[in-house]
Amino acid sequence: MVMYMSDEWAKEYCKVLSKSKAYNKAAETWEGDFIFEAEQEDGTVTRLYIDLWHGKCRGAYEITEETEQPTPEFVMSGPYSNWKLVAEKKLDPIQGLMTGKFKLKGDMAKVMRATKAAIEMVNAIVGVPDTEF
Amino acid sequence: MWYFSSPFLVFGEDALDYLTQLKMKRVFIVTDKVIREVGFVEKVEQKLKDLPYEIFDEVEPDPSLETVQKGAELCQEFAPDFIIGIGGGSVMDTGKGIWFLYENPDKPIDSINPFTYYENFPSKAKYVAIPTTSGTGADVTWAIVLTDTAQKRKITPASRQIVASISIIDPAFAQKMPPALTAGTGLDALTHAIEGYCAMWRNDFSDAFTIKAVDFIFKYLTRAYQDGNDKEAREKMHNAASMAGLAFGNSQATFAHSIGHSIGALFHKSHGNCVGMALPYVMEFTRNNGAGIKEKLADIGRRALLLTGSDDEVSEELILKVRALIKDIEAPATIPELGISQEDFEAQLPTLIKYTSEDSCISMTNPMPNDDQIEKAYRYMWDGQRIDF
Repeated sequence: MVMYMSDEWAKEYCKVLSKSKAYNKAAETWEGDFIFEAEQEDGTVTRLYIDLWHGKCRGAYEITEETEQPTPEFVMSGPYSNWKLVAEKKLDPIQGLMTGKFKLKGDMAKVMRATKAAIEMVNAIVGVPDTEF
Repeated sequence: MWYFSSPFLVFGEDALDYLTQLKMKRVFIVTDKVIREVGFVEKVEQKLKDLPYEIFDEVEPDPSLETVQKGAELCQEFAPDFIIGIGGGSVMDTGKGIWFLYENPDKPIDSINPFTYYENFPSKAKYVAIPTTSGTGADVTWAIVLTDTAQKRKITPASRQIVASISIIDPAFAQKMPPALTAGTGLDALTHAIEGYCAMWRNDFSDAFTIKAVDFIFKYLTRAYQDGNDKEAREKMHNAASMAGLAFGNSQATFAHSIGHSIGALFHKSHGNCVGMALPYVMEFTRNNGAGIKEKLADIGRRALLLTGSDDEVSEELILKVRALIKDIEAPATIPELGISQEDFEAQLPTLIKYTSEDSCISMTNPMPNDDQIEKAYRYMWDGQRIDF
């Protein structure tokens, strides 16, 4: 079992993304890295760095004081409870962004041109095996 | 949580008179040369009486980013407090783009997106959309379909804030549509309604508009096509177009629109004919592959057309009725009937697949087709063969 939104989960997610033919194809021209930011109920914030390049995930890790402090192109943030709904396929993250359940910083026009890749990213979230919440 | 966006709707006979009730000071009119020549702009001018106004009539079919930019610059100089877009979808979309750039001159048009809240927009002007065709729904939707001429592709900037302030749905403007335009725009409306019911973001409110729109389109499109002077049919089709616009505008369009946008961008064919041609094939594909789509199509058939039988039977009958309607109004049912040669089709097929695959509507399709399925669908649409995969 891997804990959702943990360092271990990020690394598994990275593998699932890279293996996903649908994501490989949908994101074949995508260049841009992300931070997924999840606010826990106790106020702490988990931050995962995901490096995406031409349909592959080049690396992923949980950002802590000991790790590098990346400045990615996009930061998507929201409460952990909403991230959980995404993983359970109960919340479409694009709808989540439109209704304020998530916030996204970065070049919005670039994201809008890559909606198919975004959907495959979500499918890959669901595809991480043995996720524990 | 979800939203339903709509302009203030003014509809029915003499709806244009509403312009005289608005407290306008300076009006910028966006239109095209054909609409001006047929006297529709003059009807608006008569309502403005002594108000200062300026007309920008350079909107072309498949309007470009450059046209929007040019119109916005003229609008900026004129400094109106009302912008009126009178015409078909191209004009009304261009009007939205001009309105946005007039209010946000520092933001490029292709940066408009649904995730950003634009502070103080609108603050300078209200936007009034007046449709002159019965199909696009652009008077009530919050997307803009524009052509990037450099890339030879369509882009669809969207934000709930660019929905028109007011839509004036006056059936008098629809009376002069020739039969072919009546058919194409009517099929566009039908595609909006049915796709909106099956899209990933469908919701209770958008569903309600689909049912009435489909009901009206099946009752009145053939009548309007056969007799342009049938006032009842014209009025109901004009209302149906905006209802279908409210349906898909709040739930999204799907695969047929991705196909329509791609064919339109590469071959410059009528949008309504392209999406209408694609509609029954897409209904078949999604019914065969999408979870719950057969039930949704059956639901449309039962509620809008009072069909009876099992989900299999009613969804099938609905598709056959769509195919029959296309035939009745002599609209293209295959890609060759759109006037595309085999040589051009084969040469452009890889680009068609790429554009379709990258179109924003594709991601709203249940299920989202992969490239192999997209190619196969194009070949079936070429042959006129029913989708069996």
